[in-house]
Amino acid sequence: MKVRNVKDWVVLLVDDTPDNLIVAETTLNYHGAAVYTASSGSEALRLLNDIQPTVILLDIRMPGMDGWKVFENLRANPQTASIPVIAVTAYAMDRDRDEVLARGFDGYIAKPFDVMAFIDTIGDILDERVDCQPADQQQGAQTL
Amino acid sequence: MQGQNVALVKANLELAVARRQAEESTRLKSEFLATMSHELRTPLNAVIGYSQLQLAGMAGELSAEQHTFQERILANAQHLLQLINEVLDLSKIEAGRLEIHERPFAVRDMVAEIMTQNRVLAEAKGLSFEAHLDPDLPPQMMGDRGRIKQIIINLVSNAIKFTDQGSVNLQVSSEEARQWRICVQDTGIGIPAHTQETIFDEFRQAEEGHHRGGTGLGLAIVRKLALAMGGSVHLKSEVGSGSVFTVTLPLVPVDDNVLVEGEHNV
Repeated sequence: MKVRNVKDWVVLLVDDTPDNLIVAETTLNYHGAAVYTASSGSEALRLLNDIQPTVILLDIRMPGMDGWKVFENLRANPQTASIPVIAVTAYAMDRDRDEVLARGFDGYIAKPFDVMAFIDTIGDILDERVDCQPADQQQGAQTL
Repeated sequence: MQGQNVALVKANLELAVARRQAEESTRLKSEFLATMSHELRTPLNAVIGYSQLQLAGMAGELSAEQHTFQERILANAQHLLQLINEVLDLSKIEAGRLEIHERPFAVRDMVAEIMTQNRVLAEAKGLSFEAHLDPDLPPQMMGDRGRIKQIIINLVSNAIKFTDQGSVNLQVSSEEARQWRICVQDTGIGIPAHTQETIFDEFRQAEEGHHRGGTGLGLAIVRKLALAMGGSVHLKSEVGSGSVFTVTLPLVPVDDNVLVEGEHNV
């Protein structure tokens, strides 16, 4: 496994299924990340008034405000617009991945996800995002 | 005359209604499949997740027996996931929703990927595992790379699963000017003559298949995919000496100019 500063990660998990929150949270905690959880889109948006996570892991199909709506809200708000968002979803049919990425998400993880590869997958998506940004933005991101 | 016109107009209207109903029914079926896929995967995420957490020691030490039982839970959950994927694949094919996306692809690269992915399994059973590519095959062909790869992987993993000693070989060759052939040959247990006719049907695998953890859907998918791409599948097998599965597909070579254009479009 690649060396990663998982201990510096602050992760916001958004999922309406408690078991799936627990599985993701346990994995992330085990590797040293700080984790916040929200079981609905609106709860996630409220939490984001107080925290600035490194990455948001967002379920798509949720009652009330779904993941698409949450994502629109995140990108429309200057406070949250630059936080990386990864869809973690059981929408795993052929075109779902393409749709998620086309809408501007930073990454896509299909459920059931592989617990053993979870940290690396998130890390790779975050690395790729930093690599893709212009140098001045990268510095800006570091000073945050 | 006027009566005939009225009848024609009426018939046209009825046709339009029938077509709209058929379209609506296809749309509902697709929606149902998407929802079902989602609803089945969500609880499986929890089952697979919790058992992986425990196996990785993230929930404390397990006794040897607990470890073994968790491994069985995980293996069965993964089997269930494979069934779900394959049932959905089949349903998509039946609902006419399977889309074949033909694009230029390099056969050599695809075969290399398949060999890498399956080598570990073959070596674990001590089997010789080799691929042979006909030098006459055009380096680039038109086809749905993902679907073709799915066919070959299904055949190759079957061959490995049902072969305990000897070899599994993959041969890709051009048949005539307009066809190419994928041939997967093994020295495995073979398929009894009375099962050979039904082996491509859903859940009709030979008795032995159940014992070896097959889903009974792999070959059904192979046949349906091959047909959807304008091809065919043949089986030659003898109990005790092995099986040969041959898939024949239409060959559309890509010349270099077209390829460059195709890449721009992607």
